[in-house]
Amino acid sequence: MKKRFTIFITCLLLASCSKIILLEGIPGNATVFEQFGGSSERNFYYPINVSDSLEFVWDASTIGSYHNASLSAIDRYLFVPTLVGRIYCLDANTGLEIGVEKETGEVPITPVVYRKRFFYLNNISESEKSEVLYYDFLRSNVINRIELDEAVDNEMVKTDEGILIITNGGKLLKINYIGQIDYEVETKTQTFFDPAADSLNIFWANQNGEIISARISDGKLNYRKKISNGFESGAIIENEKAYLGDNDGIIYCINLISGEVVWKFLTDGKIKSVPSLDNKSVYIGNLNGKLYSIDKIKGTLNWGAGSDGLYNTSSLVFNNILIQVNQKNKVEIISKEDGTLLNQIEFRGRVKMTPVYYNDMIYFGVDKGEIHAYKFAE
Amino acid sequence: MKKNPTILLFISLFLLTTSVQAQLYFFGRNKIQYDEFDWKLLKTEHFNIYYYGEFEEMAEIGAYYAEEAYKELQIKFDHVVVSTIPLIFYNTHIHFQQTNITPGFIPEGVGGFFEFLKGRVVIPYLGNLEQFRHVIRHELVHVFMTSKVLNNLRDHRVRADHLPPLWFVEGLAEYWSYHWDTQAEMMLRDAVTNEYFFSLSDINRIYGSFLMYKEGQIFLQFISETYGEDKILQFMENFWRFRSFNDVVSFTLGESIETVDDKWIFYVKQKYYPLFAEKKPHHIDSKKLTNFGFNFSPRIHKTDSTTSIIFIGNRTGYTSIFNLPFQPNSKKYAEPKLILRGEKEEIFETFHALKNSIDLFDDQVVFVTKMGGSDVLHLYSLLEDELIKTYNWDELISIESPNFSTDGKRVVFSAIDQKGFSDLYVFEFSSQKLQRITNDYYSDITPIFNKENNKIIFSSDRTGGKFRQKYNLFEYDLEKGNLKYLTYIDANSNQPHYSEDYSKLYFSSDYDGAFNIWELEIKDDQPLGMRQHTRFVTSIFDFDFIDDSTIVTSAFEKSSFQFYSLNLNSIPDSQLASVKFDFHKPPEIWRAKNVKQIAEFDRLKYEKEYTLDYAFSQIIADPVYGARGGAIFSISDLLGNDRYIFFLYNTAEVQSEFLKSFNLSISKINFSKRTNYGFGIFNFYGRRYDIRESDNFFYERSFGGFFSLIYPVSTFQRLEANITFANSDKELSESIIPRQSVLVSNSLSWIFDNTLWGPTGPLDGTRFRFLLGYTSDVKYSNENYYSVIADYRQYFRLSLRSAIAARLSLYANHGKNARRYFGGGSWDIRGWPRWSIRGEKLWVSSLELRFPLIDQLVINFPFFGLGFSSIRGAAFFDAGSAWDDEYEKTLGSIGVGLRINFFNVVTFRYDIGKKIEDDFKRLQPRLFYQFFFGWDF
Repeated sequence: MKKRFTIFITCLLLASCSKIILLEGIPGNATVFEQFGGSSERNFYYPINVSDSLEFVWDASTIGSYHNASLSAIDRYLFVPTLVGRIYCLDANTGLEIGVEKETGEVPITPVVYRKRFFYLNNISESEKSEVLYYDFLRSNVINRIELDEAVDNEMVKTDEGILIITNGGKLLKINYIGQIDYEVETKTQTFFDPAADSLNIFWANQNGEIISARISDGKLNYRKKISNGFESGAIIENEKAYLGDNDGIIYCINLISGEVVWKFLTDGKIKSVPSLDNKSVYIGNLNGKLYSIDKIKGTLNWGAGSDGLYNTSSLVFNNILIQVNQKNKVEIISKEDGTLLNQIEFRGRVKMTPVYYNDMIYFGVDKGEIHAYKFAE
Repeated sequence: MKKNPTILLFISLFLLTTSVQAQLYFFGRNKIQYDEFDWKLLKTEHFNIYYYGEFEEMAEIGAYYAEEAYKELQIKFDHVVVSTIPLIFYNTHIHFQQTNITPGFIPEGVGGFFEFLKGRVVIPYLGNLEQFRHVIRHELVHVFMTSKVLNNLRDHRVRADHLPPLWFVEGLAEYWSYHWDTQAEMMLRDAVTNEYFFSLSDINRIYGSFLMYKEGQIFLQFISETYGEDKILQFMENFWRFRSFNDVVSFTLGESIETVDDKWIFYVKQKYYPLFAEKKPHHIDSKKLTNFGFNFSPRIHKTDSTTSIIFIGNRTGYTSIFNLPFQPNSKKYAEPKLILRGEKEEIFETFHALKNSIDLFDDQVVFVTKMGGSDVLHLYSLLEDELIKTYNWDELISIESPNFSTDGKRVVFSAIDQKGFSDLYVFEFSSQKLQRITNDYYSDITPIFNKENNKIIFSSDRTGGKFRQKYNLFEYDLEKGNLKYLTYIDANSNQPHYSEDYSKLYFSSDYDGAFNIWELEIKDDQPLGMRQHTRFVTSIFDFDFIDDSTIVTSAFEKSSFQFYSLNLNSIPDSQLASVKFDFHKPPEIWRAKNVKQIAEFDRLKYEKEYTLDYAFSQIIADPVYGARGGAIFSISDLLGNDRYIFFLYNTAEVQSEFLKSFNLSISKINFSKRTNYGFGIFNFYGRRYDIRESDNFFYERSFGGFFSLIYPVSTFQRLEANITFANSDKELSESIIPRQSVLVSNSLSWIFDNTLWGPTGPLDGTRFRFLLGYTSDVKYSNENYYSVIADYRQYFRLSLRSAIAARLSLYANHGKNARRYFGGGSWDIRGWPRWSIRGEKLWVSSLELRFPLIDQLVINFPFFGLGFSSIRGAAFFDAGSAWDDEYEKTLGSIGVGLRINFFNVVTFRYDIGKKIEDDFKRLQPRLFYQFFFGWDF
């Protein structure tokens, strides 16, 4: 009787324990979706023609919910950050839970994948601090933990030498892959902005309305200029130009080298997301539920389309369509030509995450910890 | 005022099965549904808007305001409310007070509420579109904030059992719904300059007050100006991080809460202290005439020998009409004499003290009160000291600002009708004819006649052009039907008054930030501008003339409304401010936008949809009787008119009894009409203990039904009728004697209650209950008895906070197997063990002195600032007895006690005294100490 009881209790305990994230057999040339927007410049454009319908493939449940971040991936594994301090690893093809890593706090931003590790940021609850954790998924444990004295809600930037982080207090840090802080640069201004970087420089903006560029190698500031009343969004970089939107609803095109404003365009509502680009246009939605297509060179309006909801995540851009998350429980498939709504998918909760196109599937993060995977209809 | 007892009454009825003679009953005033509203539904993109009757036009305007607010708040909160929001509009405050969405009474000052359990927003229309828009936006901020914060907590898997503190919740609702207006400015000016402004660390001391709302609002204004508007949203987005909101503030701003608090206090002082450079307090620049209570709407009454002020005031808890001798040279404050007490009887049910609602002509007073389902106009003779007549009109719901013509033959007033329009009316006493002067959705208030009685001067928000929707003064020609502007400024002007000789027109205006008195400058019958005559820090609410240059004002200062007298010519002309009107371009009329300008909406008939109100479940483990469990839940329709209550539990002690031990009751209660009714069925089985019978436990299976009616005669009295059928099978445990009966119980009760409550019980007024009942076993004749209850309680006020309370109660059941009543304990005959005195007849009498003891007590160690307020004392004498057939002996007690009210939910009582024993022959040698809970009788 005692033996049976012991076995029963042991099974119960084991069942309630979470599985570790242990990933083996990942090839060296595995496909990677390594950070927010896929690259340090951020990229949401996929130059392919696709169907304007999506078919459901699977859904999975995690505990918690999501910020406007996204998931990252390597090979057939997805890494999903949640607001209850967990990173889930799911099978990209089936949604099966491979493992989960838990901390106390929230993981508000996209994990960065580098070789056999992923790096994620946890804002510690009941504290002003945060920590960057290095998780080795071949050894299935946290191998390094770097405490920061400020919270971070801004997406990390992955470079060849390390990870760039901008804290909520506006401090720029570079942390190398060994786990050392290479440098810290104070700007002493509240920053809620997803930076972008090219091979040499990192670019971001802050709540004072300043745009800032700094050298990745040593953190030295190239320039710091006030052009707006405040930014709480994110930037995308292409060909030495940066594109970003501000709290007054203005979209800017900035010369990345000089920091000069090339053009600006006024929309009708606050912008909180990172713009998307393709060969010709900039696409951006605002909190007034309006989506815009702007000529990338001239800064003039191609079209604007309204909705009943609110846009605070980036569009996925294909050759013929856009996929845009509307916080009012739906995903919209929109014609790139004129902004017409071609199709939409309704969910039970708010669609929160910036969607990711990976593995020929599109992944959405929905309220109450649901991940949904769709593919384009034939 | 304590909660409407109706729901509690119904629940207690079915819980106590054959309890129609239940000894534990409620008094309480009655919330009456005077009107049957034919509800309709207007569906827009984000809202279901419920309205009734002729309110359609205003509902469409309200729908526009709601959709407009939704779009703005979506951006401010970076959040969408995905569910459709129910908005319920009432066309006046009087109708709003009848709502069943909240069970309690709604005071005059409540402008709307958000009921967050079901997400309902309930708003009265008060005759003013700007105010309507403000309240809609205010309540929608609550909706968004609650949704945002609770979602944020849920996303982070933090227990969603708390919201930000009330000062932030209400401050945000004000800050994000409206600009900083005159009322807010007046409140803060007064609080800061009179040093009763509270820092964040002490703000809970003004919990729930209007000042707290405004302090919250100005705190957020300070945050926006000092740290940035984005910080306000960040407070909510960071809310999950810390349990303490102070920590959230500190984290978000990057500074300690003490630093933020200090900066805020300095910000406020910096804003308001400089006022004293140019403005003065009332008590400095005028003669203070009163120093107590709340005093409104002064009207000067002159006889050959005396001058006095007739006014509406509240000095005892009941708003009434008083007469104050005008003695400007006296060093003491005159004592006002009560002319007519209000709020104790139906005819003067409620005064609207904050509105202009009284006027005088010779010895006649015209004033407004609520009576039943609408306002009425009373005519009262000061000479005869009696009411002459009362007037009401079916189509008019709310009335204010009555004003006599100069010959006393007519009265002009402002009223809100069934459509919600606030318009002007003239009533002629002799012909009883009512003439409607205006008929539109512009708010027209405070009208007066000119000297010739051929024009009406009034204040209206119909102002067009660049000062759109401000209240300016207008003149309406009764003969020609013309309307013309008298003032045209970017400020609100109202309360026009002619000087005694009718040579000048004065009015109050908030042009300089507070309502002060200005004079209209006219040349050749054309208004040119206005000249300021007073420069007080805080507002004058109303005034009247003693003579051509002397006025009496009702002004707000030091958080109270007092009377002051002053000379209008006391400020030299050179120091008077002056404003010129620009009439060269006639301002175009403004039109309200409505929902027809938005793409989608639908009109539908209202259909009831039931949703869950609450659900409780519990499982307990009793060491003697084992485990028991049960649940109670209630559903009701959106408007709260129809409610179903389900009660289910199981009392099985062994597995074999499980099925038969299910106890169930289902009740329905309807509040939609004036007569409330309820009915239900029940089935109870299990071990019971009924102290009305014996000290033994017994098994009983009882099933049956009940039906109840409550008819409120007025707010103060009601009739209740109950009938209960119960088939009862009892088995007494010890002797295993079965006893079957089929009981039918009937009762009829008359209840009256006009009491005024202090912190722990009534202090003034009367309440009583008379009940007649009859219980009969119609099948087995095992029980057959009559019941009489006579419970009379009177409260004699000694001072504002003390009283003598007296009670005489008689309970009698007479007949075969009559149930017993029970007494003893903290609720009746103190000192004696609780419910130890039992008999088929019971009488209780008490005399108690109630007085304040400690107003505020804060225990810093070890309870870290735990505070108690309103600790009250009592000295009592109780007497009573209980018997079945023969009277035995009289019992009694004397003593003193302490009462502490906890958050208006429960009062703890502690009594010390001596029993009077041996048939009132001797006192108990030692003291008794008794602790319990419950309100004073």
